[in-house]
Amino acid sequence: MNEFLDWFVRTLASAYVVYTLVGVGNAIIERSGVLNLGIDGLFMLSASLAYTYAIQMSSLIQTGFLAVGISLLLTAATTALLYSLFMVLNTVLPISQGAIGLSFMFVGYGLAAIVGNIGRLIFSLQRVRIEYISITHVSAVFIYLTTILAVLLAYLLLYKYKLGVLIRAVGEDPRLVSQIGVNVTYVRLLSGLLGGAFIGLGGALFTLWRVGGWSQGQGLNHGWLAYAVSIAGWRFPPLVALVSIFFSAAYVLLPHLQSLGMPIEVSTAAPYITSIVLMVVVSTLHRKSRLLADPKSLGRSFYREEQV
Amino acid sequence: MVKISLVITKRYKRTIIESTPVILMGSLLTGLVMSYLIIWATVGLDPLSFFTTFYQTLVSYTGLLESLLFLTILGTAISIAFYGSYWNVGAEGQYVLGMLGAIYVVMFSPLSGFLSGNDLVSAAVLKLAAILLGGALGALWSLIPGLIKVFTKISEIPIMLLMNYIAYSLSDYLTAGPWKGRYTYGYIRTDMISESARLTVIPGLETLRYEVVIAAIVVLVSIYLILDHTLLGLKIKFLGTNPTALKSSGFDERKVTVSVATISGFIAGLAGAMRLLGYDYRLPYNIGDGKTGFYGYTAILVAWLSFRDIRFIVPSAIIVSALSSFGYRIQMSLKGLLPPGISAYAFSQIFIGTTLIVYTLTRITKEFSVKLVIRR
Repeated sequence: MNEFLDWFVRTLASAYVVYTLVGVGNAIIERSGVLNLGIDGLFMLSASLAYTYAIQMSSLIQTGFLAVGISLLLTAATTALLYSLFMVLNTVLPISQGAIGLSFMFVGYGLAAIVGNIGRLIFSLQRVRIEYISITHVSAVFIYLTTILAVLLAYLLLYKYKLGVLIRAVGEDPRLVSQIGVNVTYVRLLSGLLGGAFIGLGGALFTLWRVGGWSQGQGLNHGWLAYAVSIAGWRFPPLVALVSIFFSAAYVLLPHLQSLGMPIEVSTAAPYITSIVLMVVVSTLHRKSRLLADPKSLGRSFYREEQV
Repeated sequence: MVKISLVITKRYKRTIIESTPVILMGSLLTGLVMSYLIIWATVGLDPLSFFTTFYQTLVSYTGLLESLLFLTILGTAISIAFYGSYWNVGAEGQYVLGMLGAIYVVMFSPLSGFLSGNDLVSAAVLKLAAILLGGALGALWSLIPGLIKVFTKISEIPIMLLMNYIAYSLSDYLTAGPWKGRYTYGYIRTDMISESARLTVIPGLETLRYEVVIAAIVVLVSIYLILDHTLLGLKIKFLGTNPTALKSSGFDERKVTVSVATISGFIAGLAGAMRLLGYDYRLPYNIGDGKTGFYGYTAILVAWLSFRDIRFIVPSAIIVSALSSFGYRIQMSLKGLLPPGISAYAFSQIFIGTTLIVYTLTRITKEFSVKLVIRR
């Protein structure tokens, strides 16, 4: 039983936390009407940032636990800042969101490789040891509860507070909202800060908890998997958290079917097939509900002549 | 109170500085300098050897021709998709599907037994069928995200990127399973295709094949003609620049998206089929591990640099193939300098990333003027 619990926490729970956090972050961003196509690059970057921060912090601070905690926060803050830049560029520039998203994706991949390798360099010079978040059940339960709380907060913020209402309104019709005197760029910047913090935290936990180390190309594609979870959860935080349960279970359990005679190539492709099917099936279901519908101006360029 | 704001206005007069070649070269130079600075900051490579390597790459062109042709074909495929705001980042997967189609026709289909004779006509028919099926499979692979985009409004980008990995797995499944070769010295891979099914080597230029050269020219010219001289081309351009106008003039936006997806995927599949028939001759296992040369991804850069201008495809392809060769050479000269565990691959990624973002931002100045206004 203990062995099972250990396996459960190490694989399923950590996958769940990462995909939920990143999925909810993506929901906050896309609810404001910006297509978040930089997600995979920025997720990969945050996974590398967490490693390098943790190395640097561990060499500065003797308490391992504190060092990892601080690097979690630093990663979240850095990703939030990058996302706010992403949102501002997407709002003020007269260029398609697909173009900016792809650019950010590539820049993210490149920077992730650089940042992670810088961490390695520091490591080879100083030989510090990172206290990765251990798989003890206490810390797992703590992170688990924090995730649930974060999802709840995201829900309250988006649906019960003025800022969230503004974010969603901007996602529906930015021109209308700006005509009543709201600064669209500012609202999107805030949603980028919030969503980016979620995504950064997810990326950091991916490195410092789920994997417990860093290697070249770490985190590649996991951003897209979380994106799929987010779309399949109708970009609605509680539902994202719910869909994430099924998705992480499928993701963790499907490779085990290999022992039942499934070819390895099929189980490798299974998470990707699952995400595509999940996105497609879900998006054909929700046409009727206003609450769950896609933001109307998602992916449309918000640009006016003489923007002052 | 001081108020700072960004003012963006449409440009009506164009100046020489805003022309496409200048922006192209400018962002490449910026990318080059940025990646040099990063290399310099991390390992301290001296500027002389960095730029000498760059110069040597540009001077030696023979090795570049092969990748130039493939990047031209794939770049055209992606470019026409970009014209219609269909962000075809799935060319890699379509390319792999093209390979699968080609090897199926020449090795496993009933046609291959039927046309196994060594006479020229049956070999030509076999090759043509292989290339066409490769193209068709590529088109099919691109049609899936296209239809998903049209019917569910999910962005095609994540779907395509995920489908690239599915394509790799599909190829590996076939290579290790039903198509596993008998004469492979213990490796997992398919057998070689027969001599008669291979493309013709150009005497004197061993890296080139007649069919590939012809295909590159045909693809480039026909896409140029489609875009500039047909109604479909006009509709594609409208879809990319002003979809509302397309809709209000009575055309179905969805049909245009689907046709763009099909054309783009077909050309990418064509390239994959030719790669298999002309160069690889067999399918390796673990194809996603760099064995495709990542042409499908590199070609995104080609399409990007020539953004919505088909005339710049070939110059961009020359630049990009020179750069990937440069990346390879710089890895060689970095080899002794880098500490263990650090790969030079990171630098080519950062280079691509910086070039893309600088280009994206500067090309805005071609059509819009951006000013910072400070008011009191």
